[in-house]
Amino acid sequence: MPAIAICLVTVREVLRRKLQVNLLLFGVMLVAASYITGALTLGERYRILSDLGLTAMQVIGVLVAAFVGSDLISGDMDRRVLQPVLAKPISRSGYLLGRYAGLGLVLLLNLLVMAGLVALILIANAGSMEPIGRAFLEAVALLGIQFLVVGAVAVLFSAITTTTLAAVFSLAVAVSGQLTGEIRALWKGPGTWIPSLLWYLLPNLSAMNANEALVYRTPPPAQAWLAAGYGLAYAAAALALAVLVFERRDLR
Amino acid sequence: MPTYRIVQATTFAGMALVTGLLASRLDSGTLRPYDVGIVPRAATLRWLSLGHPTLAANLLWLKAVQYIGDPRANERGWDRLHPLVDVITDLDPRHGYAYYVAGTLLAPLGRVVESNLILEKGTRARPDLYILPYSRAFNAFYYDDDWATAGRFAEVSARTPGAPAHVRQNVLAYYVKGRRAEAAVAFLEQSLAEARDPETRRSVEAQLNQALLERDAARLDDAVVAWRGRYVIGPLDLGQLVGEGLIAKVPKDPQGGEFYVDHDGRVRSTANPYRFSKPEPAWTRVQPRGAQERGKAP
Repeated sequence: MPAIAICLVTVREVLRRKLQVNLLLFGVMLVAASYITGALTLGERYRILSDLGLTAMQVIGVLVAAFVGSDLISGDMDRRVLQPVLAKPISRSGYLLGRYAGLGLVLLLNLLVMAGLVALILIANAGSMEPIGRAFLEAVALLGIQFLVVGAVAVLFSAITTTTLAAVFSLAVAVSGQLTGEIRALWKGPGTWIPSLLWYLLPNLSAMNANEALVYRTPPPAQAWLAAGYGLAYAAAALALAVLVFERRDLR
Repeated sequence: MPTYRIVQATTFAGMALVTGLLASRLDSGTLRPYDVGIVPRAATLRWLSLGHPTLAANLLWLKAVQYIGDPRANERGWDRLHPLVDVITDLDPRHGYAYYVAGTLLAPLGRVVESNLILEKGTRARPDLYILPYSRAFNAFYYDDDWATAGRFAEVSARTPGAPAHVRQNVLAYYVKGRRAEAAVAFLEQSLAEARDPETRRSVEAQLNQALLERDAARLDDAVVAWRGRYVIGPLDLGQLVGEGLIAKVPKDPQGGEFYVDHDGRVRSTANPYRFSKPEPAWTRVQPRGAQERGKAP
């Protein structure tokens, strides 16, 4: 099971990275700041706390997925650590999937830490466990799937190009992924194939946003779960493409 | 200490001093009341929010709260409140509290039209909140002297699940004062058909009886006014109205009593002498702040 070993090494390595630690700390501070911001509102403090908290988690999670994921493969190539690893009895696909699995675990760990903090803030505000219901858990789960999608895209770019370009492309995809739905809905007249193409090409991340459901404490619509399935399929497709490219890549 | 260290330290101290001096002269915004320079368009914010319209709405709501809460708000005026809340509710149409706060704040400031607009928008977007049409009904009778519109919105409010029972009484009063007692009768008849428990049925029946009484008594009131236009006093008996051709016949009191003309010239029933008072004109009530000086309190 060399892929599992690669996964565990990746988890340890990523957890020690300054970028990951700093971003996580920043995320924790951002979530904590939402508590102060919530004090500025007039009534309905929960609405501000939950919305800002969830968005802070999303921003940090996506940044970690994009930056750390972009460095996973191309960084190993730059540091010349890839060749000795691949000299061992492990396939390139096993290596790439192991790296992605490690990244995924760290992303979910980050999510757990930040979600725990948001939950504490919401509980402190409400004075009960009431806010931590189905809406909260489902919103967090959908966020986790978003991170996995962005991480898979970052790993794909990392297998194709340099770390810097991979980070830029991954962030661009993460931002565009929040807009594809709006573009497709608003684009009228000639050339409607363009938004349709973007819709299928880019990950539709906005479909996995559950801010509104959390703010109004309603379960995300059935479409959200379809979107979750779609997100996982998209991540798998991105990884399959990454494996395809990485298998053929000249590592010299 | 080496000279270069002294130069570095002096440069730092000098620049820190200059920065501090300049900072003290910058306008920190505390000299003026809090204001919102530009209210962005909802469509622009929707794009900029990257799929998080509720977040954009909530951040704008925080600005609206600062705008509302500034102690010198009247000095500044209230021009931006309606546009702000309009954008907030475009981005997050379910933001019920924003409709309510803006609606109830704007009307006493003399901005009744804006208040009505935002409350009506809220009534459409949040049909589950009885308080929005209820507040709109209040605006209609209190500021606009429009009792029929008040009745219409109170009816919407009363039909909202979870609305308190007293809202039904408001519907009755508004419609009666707006000379639309027949609308109150129709509403209460439907309410009676929908009532599930005996207590509610009793309460609605009492209101329906009052509505029927008001409807018939209002017709007789008109005939009495016409009689007095001819004879100054009287009539001694309501049958005289029939003889004079002012009404076809004296209606039966639905509560089993007899109609009579009171000393104040209003028709009442022996079974239930209570009648809703005639509406007072809006000018007799406390005027909205800044009604004369648009949006600015004196």
